[in-house]
Amino acid sequence: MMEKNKMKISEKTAFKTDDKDPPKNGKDYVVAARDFSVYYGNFHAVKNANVSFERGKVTAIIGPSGCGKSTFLRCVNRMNDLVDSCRTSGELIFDGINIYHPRLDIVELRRRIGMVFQRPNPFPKSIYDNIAYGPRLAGSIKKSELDGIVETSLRRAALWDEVKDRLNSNALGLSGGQQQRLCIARALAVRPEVLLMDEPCSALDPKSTSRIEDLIDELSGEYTIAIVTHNMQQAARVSHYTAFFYEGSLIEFGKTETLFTSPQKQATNDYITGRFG
Amino acid sequence: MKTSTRKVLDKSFTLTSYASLALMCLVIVLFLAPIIVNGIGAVVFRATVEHDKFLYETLGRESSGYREELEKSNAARKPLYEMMAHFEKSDNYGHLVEKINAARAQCLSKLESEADIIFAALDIEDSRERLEKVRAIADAAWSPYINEISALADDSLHNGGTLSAAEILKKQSNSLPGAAKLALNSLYEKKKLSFQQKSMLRRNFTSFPMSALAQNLEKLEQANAAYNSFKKGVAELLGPSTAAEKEKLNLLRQKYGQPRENLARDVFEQSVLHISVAEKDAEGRDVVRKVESAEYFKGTPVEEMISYMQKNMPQMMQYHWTVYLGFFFDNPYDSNIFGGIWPMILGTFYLTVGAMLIAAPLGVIAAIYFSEYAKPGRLVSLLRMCVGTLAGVPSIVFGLFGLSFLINTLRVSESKSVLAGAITLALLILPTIIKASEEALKSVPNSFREAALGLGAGKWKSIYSVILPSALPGMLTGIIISMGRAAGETAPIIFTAATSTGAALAVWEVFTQATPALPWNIYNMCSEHEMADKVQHVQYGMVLTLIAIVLTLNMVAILIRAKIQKKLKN
Ligand SMILES: Nc1ncnc2c1ncn2[C@@H]1O[C@H](COP(=O)(O)OP(=O)(O)OP(=O)(O)O)[C@@H](O)[C@H]1O
Ligand SMILES: [Mg+2]
Repeated sequence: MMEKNKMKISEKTAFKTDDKDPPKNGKDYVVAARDFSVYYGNFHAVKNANVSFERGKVTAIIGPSGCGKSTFLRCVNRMNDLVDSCRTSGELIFDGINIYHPRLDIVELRRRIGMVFQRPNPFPKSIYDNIAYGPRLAGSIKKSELDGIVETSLRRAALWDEVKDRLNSNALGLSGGQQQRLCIARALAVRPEVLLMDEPCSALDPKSTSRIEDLIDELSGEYTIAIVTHNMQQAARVSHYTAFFYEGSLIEFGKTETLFTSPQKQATNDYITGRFG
Repeated sequence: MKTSTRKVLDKSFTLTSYASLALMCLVIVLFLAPIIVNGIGAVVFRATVEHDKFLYETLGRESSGYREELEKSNAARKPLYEMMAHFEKSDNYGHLVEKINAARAQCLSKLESEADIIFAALDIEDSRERLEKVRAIADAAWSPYINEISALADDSLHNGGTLSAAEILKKQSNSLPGAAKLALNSLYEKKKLSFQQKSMLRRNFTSFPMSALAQNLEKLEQANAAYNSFKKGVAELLGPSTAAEKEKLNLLRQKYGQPRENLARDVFEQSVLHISVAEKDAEGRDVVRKVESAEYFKGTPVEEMISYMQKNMPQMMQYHWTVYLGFFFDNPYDSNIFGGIWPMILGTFYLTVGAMLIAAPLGVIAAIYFSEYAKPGRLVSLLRMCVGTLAGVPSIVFGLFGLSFLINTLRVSESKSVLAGAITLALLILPTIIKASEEALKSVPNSFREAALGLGAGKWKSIYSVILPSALPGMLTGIIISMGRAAGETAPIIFTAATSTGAALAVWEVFTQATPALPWNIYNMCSEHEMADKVQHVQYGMVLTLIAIVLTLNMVAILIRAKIQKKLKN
């Protein structure tokens, strides 16, 4: 009965932001923030940010610790709803509709915008059940079909060869890097359009990190990816666009090459050259 | 701080903690050891033939070697019973009755033949002289008779047969006044006597032999009472001597002797080797005194019986080791003096499981609400406070609540019932379950919630599929430990569910019937049982069973937690 009140994102007519759409510059933005602010109680954590994620491209978000990167990212699939004190203002548009529309179906939103967290968080279930968790939510599904989804997801996350013989063993028995790739595979199994990654490599060794970077590279094009990272080289390596946040404000946003080679703002320059943060 | 001081402090702290641990262990051992030893004694003990007799006749179970045992014990008891029968035989002194009657007749005829001497004596002027004279005549006349009955009494006191001797004396004292009156009447006919003279004659010629009779009779009755006390002790020890006698008895405790060696020894010591004797103390009050029977019956046939029993107790009782598992599965008989504690165990099981079935779902649902749904606010903190307060309410208050609200107001049952008790216990353990479950839910990492929600799970789905399974070990632990609490609670069930005696209930009876239950029956049996010292093994057995139930539940909780945690880790 609740469903009736909920608005499917596909029925976007009601939310159409028409003329207020951000300047597209001929590009196809999947997610776009316009004067988007986030507050924790009275604390203004993200200040009037204007960032867009282009379809099929990788956008990196960088900035010193505590500048609001995670906060912003978590707003994109409304994970910040879990924080009681969290409020937002401004607009965050996904596929033409406002993510914070009161009648939006959050479950569908989250299904279309997947997330990978800083620390790997597999469920204490088998590897198979971890991957199958998302697809099963969508409704009853044939075993053969599910097997297919599990295999493709694991293959895409470059984990298949390592775990194909022990799909039924507990996921917590995997190494940290494997767990993180499992989480990526789990997110992919739902076939989201956007993949949000909050420092996915911060808990991993260089080898696992480079595997995941390769993975991001492979996935781009098909998926729209936003990745938060503290690793400047990583941002430079994997992303097409980079957004630099500082003390809650978006300082600079543009093509990665441009931002890293000729930053427009002094703060950006200081940060990427390692003068602070 | 200096290194040396720190070392000393560290050492002393370690020492103190070891000492306190050791103290705790000591207390546990001191407390538990007697319970365990005595509790096991309810099941494994030295039984007597009477125990097997009870099992065979009442429960239809024949212990191995029972028949042989029975034969041996009967053979050993036979001489005793024969001695007793001989002692009690009614015609021991039949041959003396004639003699006594003859003596009496002689005395009475002497009274008539000496009428003139008597009249002369009555005429003496001086009252003291007159009295002495009359007494002398009466003495002379009655002394053969009195000698005869005293001899009888003394003989019976020494050689047994006080029972039949007392019979004879009783008959004498019944018939003597009539006979004496006849004799006196014939005297009155011979001469007209004044009232005083008549009463003087009556006093000396009737009351005088009567009081002699009464004195002897009292001696005999005292001896009989002592013998009966001894005989009662024997019956208590061995059970009734014949089947016919057994038929007449109602209580099982009268139909069988002592079923356990320790009880048999106690009874032998207290009721056979010692007897109760009624006496008058210095101020003339009746008192009952315990005396050693060997001393009391010295020189009589009873002494022989006692020494026979002392020698042949093991043969008469057939002591042997036995394992009576029926203690757990048999119904109690005759106020728990025989049989087991099955209804109590079953009642505790019903109450505990019932309380769990009611409290666990409610508690888990409430915990889910508190931990996952409730937004901080006045109402929620008020609810939390209520739960906290409920946890601190004394259990007796829950009992009263169960009685006044559940039974008297809501009328969940006519009177006490397992259902009412289970609901009361459920309310008692509800706060614990809520708290434990909430803790368990809170300890589920937030990342699980985020992962589930991030994959597009709805709130309930994420709780159901990820959070609850992860919180399960903690919840189960809380639930099982509170089951242990419910199993041991006494106060709430006193008012709502417990009876001291009763049969094991069938499942459908729990809605209407009260039940015995371990905690209540332990109390009842230790404090209100009519023979609390006879059922000590049952008390300890029940305590041990209860402790075992609670410990097992706690152990299961620990195992479940360990197992699931291992599964989660690996
Ligand atoms: N749940 C919360 N409640 C209140 N304040 C919060 C909460 N989460 C984050 N903050 C605050 O918001 C600000 C931004 O936090 P955020 O986690 O987005 O930083 P970040 O850029 O991701 O930092 P890091 O690089 O260390 O992860 C910080 O000052 C933090 O203290
Ligand atoms: Mg962060």
